[in-house]
Amino acid sequence: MGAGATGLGVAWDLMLRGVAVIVVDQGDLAHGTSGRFHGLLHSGARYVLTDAVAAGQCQAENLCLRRIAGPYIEDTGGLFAAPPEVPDRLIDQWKQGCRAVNIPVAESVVVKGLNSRWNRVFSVNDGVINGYPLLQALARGIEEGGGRVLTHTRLVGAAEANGKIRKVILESAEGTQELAVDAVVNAAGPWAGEVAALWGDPLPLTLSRGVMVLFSHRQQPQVINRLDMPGDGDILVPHDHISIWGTTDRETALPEAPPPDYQEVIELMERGQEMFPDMGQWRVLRAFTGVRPLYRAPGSGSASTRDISRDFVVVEHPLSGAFSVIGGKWTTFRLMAQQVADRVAGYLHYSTPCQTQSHPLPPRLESFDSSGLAEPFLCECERVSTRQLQQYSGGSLSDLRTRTWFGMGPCQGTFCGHRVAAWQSLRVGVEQSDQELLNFRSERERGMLSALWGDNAVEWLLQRNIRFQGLGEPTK
Amino acid sequence: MRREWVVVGKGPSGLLSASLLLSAGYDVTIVAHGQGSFPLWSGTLDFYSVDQQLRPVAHPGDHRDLLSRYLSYDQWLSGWDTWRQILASIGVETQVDAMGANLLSPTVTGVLYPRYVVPGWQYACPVPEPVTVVSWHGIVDLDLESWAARYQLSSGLEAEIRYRPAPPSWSPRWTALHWAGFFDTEVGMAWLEHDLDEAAVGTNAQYPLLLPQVIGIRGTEKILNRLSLALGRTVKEIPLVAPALGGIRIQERWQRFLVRQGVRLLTGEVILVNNDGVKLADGRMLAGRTVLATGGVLGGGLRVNWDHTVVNTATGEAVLWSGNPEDLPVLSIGGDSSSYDVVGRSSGNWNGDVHGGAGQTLASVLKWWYSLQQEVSLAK
Repeated sequence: MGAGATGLGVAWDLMLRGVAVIVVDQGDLAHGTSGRFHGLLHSGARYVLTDAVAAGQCQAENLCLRRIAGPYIEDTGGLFAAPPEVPDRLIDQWKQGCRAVNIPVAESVVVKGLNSRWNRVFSVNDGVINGYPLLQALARGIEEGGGRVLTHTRLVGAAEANGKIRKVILESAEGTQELAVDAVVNAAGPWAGEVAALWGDPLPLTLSRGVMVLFSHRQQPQVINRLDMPGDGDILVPHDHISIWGTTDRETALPEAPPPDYQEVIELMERGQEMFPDMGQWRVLRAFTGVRPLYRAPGSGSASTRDISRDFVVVEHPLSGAFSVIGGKWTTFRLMAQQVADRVAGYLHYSTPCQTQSHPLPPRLESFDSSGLAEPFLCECERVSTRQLQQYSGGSLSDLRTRTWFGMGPCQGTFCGHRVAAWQSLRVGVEQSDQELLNFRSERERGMLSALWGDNAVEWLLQRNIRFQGLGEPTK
Repeated sequence: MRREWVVVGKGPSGLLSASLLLSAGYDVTIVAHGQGSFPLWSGTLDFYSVDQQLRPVAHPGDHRDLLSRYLSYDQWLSGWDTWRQILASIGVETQVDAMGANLLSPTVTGVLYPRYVVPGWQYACPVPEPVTVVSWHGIVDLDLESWAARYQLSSGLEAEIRYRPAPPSWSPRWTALHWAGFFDTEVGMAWLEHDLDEAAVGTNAQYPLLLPQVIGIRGTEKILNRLSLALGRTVKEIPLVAPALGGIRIQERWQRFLVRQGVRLLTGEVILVNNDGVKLADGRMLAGRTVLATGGVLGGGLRVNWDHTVVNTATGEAVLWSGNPEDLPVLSIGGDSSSYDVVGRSSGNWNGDVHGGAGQTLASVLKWWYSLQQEVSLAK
């Protein structure tokens, strides 16, 4: 349950062991937390001061992902820059911590644009994960291996026999279906509590939200971290031609990511300008929130067998064959999947060991070559043409967006939203494509409104002008 | 009363203010930093609100509440004629409904949209009718199949469509401006006439024939008339999105007209305004009474900072904003004690996305103009 990094990772691992798998998600791939993160492939250096185990796992998985998922990792390298108030003692402690878990550290030159007083800078082997293509590749690999990936499908019930889970009931636009199963892995992230409640064993989850601000342009070639105890607003991650600045950590009530709180964005920006004094002038595109599921320490008297790690938790529910996995980091998703899959495979009496440390992920699809194309782009910011959309003719507008990246550039779909919707309407009809366009608009608008300053404020007003005065889209 | 005026901004409100000042014999300088909002505008004067069923209200007489913030109803009616006369004087003919109601004009996605005053080149009709639409591969904003389906939905009527191959010189980089430039040439015109001859075969000659709004910049009316004569039917345009040829044509003609009449048109960034005039970023001073037509946040007259402070870019003054995005389009600047007048978007009150675009241009400029005339007559 859940087509994020955890769910797809577990399914991939089990599939390689010969287990028949089905992945179910209520939305598109990476609908939840996996699609709402900063993209940092941790070296582990961020955690050496607080959690040496997590730091070591990050470093090992960092190297492993570079081996098995090379096409989805950008080897940007990372820097740690210490603000002037950080004492030398802490820096030495940090360097020793890195050495202890084999994170290579070197002194680095001063970074352009960085606060000139932050003159103690070190390089580590951070990188960037291209999350969407990686998860799309896992889904492809699972399907090619005989598994299935059902998106836009909700789990609404489970049935048992003799204390073992036997069936799940799924609902989608096509209707309700029952699937016979031997085991279920609940990897629904922030929704994991709701899923486990379906078999009567709700999980003690605490949800935490993190805000990230997205800027146009690759403001820095490398990942830049604040060398200090981990806190709010201390990571800048370059992604292709944008940059993500994050993040915050506040308790939140609902699994659905809320729009960023403006005060949190302000605080993030204030913190950012300590590091990069001109961040307030960077061209902001949007802000967004991700929701982290955290496992609350269980009270006494629980009947479940619970295996608690510092980073993530695997729960075996009283109902046999029902497993939940909570927490974790993108960087260590493979390791987490391995540990979950070990438990599930054991339960199912599969003896094949884990393959994922050495089995490369499916190759990356050739990126669409638009050079020399005798047709105009529908999305000029991200250079997406009709020809490229046609490769994914089955998808929803939001699925098309994450596959082709249309509507993700500085104009946030102002000039291409109606074009792609018009193309889509030939397949699904005008009324449905209008509805999808409305969803697309409100999703894009939500991000823009959360960072409504500078040219982005102008862009938002331009978008409204074109939508309501030019295109005649409904204002309500 | 001073004879010199400085108009800051060259969007519709700036040029309309300059035209009125010019007509009363004032000495006018226009100074602008940005392009102005003409390229975002098809050239129609909209002015509408919606009833409880969210249907557009059809008659200006139904807008008294909104209007009374700016003008009396009689002032509005005469202002409407003023608007049409000024456009006619710069060479842009307009259409209105004889009964004073809205005309209906389809958008580039096929939605029928109410408009009051519509330039002559744009298709508009009092009641919906079946139409023929011809477009060329490469004009990505106008997707004909989808257009016809939505037109059918919004009007219940048929739209015949004909997709045609792009001309031989076309490249994927062509924007609306390239197309328009091509049709302004003799070669382009000949190609167009020949292509439409073929495109029209088998279509219903009773239906008006509609084309995307790329039919020239300077020669539009001439081309459309020639096509109408050759095909024996009405030939008009459907406006595209920005860059909008309708607004660009009007801006070119209007600026040329004003400059010919002796208005100075300068490029410069105003950084200070006082009772003597304005100071530009390059150090130049322009003397005169000042009217700001700087266009709000979208036009560049206001800037929003990351901490949600808002600044009037021409004066450096802070402008109060609640932080609510819905208030951003209606922020107003100036006031009774200001050393400048304000017209257009920054006069507040009117959200063009809700109440119709360009209506505010006319209402706010006329309000300013009428009060100026009152001031003049009091001074006498």
